[in-house]
Amino acid sequence: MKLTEMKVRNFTVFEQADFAFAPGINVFIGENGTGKSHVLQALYAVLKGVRNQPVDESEAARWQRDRLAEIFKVDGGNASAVGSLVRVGNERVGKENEGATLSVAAGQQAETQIKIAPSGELTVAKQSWSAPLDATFLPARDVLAMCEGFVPIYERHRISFDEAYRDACLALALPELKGSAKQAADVLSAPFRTMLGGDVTLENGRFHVDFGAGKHEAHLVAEGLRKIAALVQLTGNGSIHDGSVLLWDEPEANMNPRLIAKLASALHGLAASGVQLFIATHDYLLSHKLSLAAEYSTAPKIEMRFFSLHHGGPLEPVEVESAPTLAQMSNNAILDEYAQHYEDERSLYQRELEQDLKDGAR
Amino acid sequence: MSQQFIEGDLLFEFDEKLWNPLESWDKHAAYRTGIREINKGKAVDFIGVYNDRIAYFIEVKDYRRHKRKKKISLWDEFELKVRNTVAGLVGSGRREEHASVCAPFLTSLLKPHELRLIYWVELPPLSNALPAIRKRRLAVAGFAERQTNRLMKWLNARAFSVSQEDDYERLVPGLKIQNLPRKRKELAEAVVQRLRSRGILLGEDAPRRISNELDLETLKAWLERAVTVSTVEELFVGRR
Repeated sequence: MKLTEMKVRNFTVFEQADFAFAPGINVFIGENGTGKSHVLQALYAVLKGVRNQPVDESEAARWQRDRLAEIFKVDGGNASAVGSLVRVGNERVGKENEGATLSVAAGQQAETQIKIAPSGELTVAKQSWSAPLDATFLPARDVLAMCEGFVPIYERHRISFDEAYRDACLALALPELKGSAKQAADVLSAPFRTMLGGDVTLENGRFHVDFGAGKHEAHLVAEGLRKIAALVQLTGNGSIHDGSVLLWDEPEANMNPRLIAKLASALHGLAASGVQLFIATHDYLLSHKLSLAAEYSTAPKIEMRFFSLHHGGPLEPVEVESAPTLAQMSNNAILDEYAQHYEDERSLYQRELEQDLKDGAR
Repeated sequence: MSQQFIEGDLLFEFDEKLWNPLESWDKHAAYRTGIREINKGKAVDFIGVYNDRIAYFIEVKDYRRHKRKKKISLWDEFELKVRNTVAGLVGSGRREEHASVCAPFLTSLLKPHELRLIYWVELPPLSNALPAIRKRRLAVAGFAERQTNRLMKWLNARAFSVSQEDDYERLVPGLKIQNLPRKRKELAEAVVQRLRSRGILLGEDAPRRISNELDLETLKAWLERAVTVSTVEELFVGRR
């Protein structure tokens, strides 16, 4: 089962945004504050809102509201504050704010539709999933080194980390698989293990990375490498598997470009193994490496979709442009800035050169 | 008056008032009988002195009709050619017969701000390309230029990539570029080939004269006459 679409109305920075997803890799680009992380969080919250057993309407709504509150961390995770996710400023003249709607679908059969009133009241208008879809959310910051003791603290105390951190810690801590499931997981984790150049172990709640010359505690390993180590662990223990969804916010954060280039190809491989990816990025290399794979149909061919989120100003609603490759996109703030940088550098040098030539002529 | 050079399908015309001396260095006897004889390496296409002061090394690559096939990267190749050019100028400058050709370049080489390295790269035009592809070419050119300049640090000179799409006269003043008809190069090659296959002695100057001929009609006439002439001089008689 693959996510096929999300429709958002009056939610956070979006007035109206429709996303038609690719079964392979979905990449979100856009300046800060255009809602890239919100898209990933909304998808994650809706997927987590689906229960294992059927529940009545009010329980479904309560559970869904808690997930939104905990993942978006509204008022520190206060469920009655989900009304603050409703976009303000969209009221028609003389009318009240109609509230927000979120709908996420995986084909015709599986769909969730949620309405959020500005008061914070949430209703689940539709929720038709035969089973929950496994989803992993990776925040921009590394989780591996903070896992030790994190979950009990999260459960007992009010802390400013959102639920995705807790879930990631729980997923990381799952023990190794066995049998044929382990074989499949090893295939999935192999590229990440190669990238890491080592292996990950978990002892007494603490992660270690072994590069071949003894174990290093996770927090002594570079943060960029820890993020790769987390992927080794999550693919190796079955948290990320064929048919699951991986939502990764800014994978490039804390990574050297050399690692990012390898990551692009490893992510391509992950999608080829049946994981549906949702990536929010600011990185030229990551976004363009993925786009080149789509532009030149690098084998194995992965269906991709690129989404550019942009707005005229912080108070303007965010618009979404989407295309199968970045080359077909007219809004790309990353590329604009790199091209502009080259132009600026050139004109500085040209000015200096012209001055040189003038000085020489005197 | 201008001095002309042909590279690929491009005609370079340098204003002689501003550019003196100006040499086709890779093909120059001073280079060919110098370090080239030892290491077989190539040098840059032209070297010139602008305004009696600033030396330019110019390397031209025309990839509009043929893709690059070499394994070596563009910047590694350019750096190698610049290195051979410098070595060639120093070596030949120490040989009496070529000292005067090399002297003005050697003077500029030793002054920190008086050497410019230009690599001229023509790629297929982007007139119909998507805006993102145009911007991407700019961004990639920026990366390539940084990489090239990193390699040129040893020479303390800055390299600059230029193409017809740029405002090139700001960088290389007194230069005009013309695109030559596509067929011209093939016609010139066919004339030389036809004469050679008939066993006619060509020497050094005749092939150069043929490949530098710009007029398509003349080349066509030569191609016809190449079948019947018995010496290469006969070919040039009655040039249109």
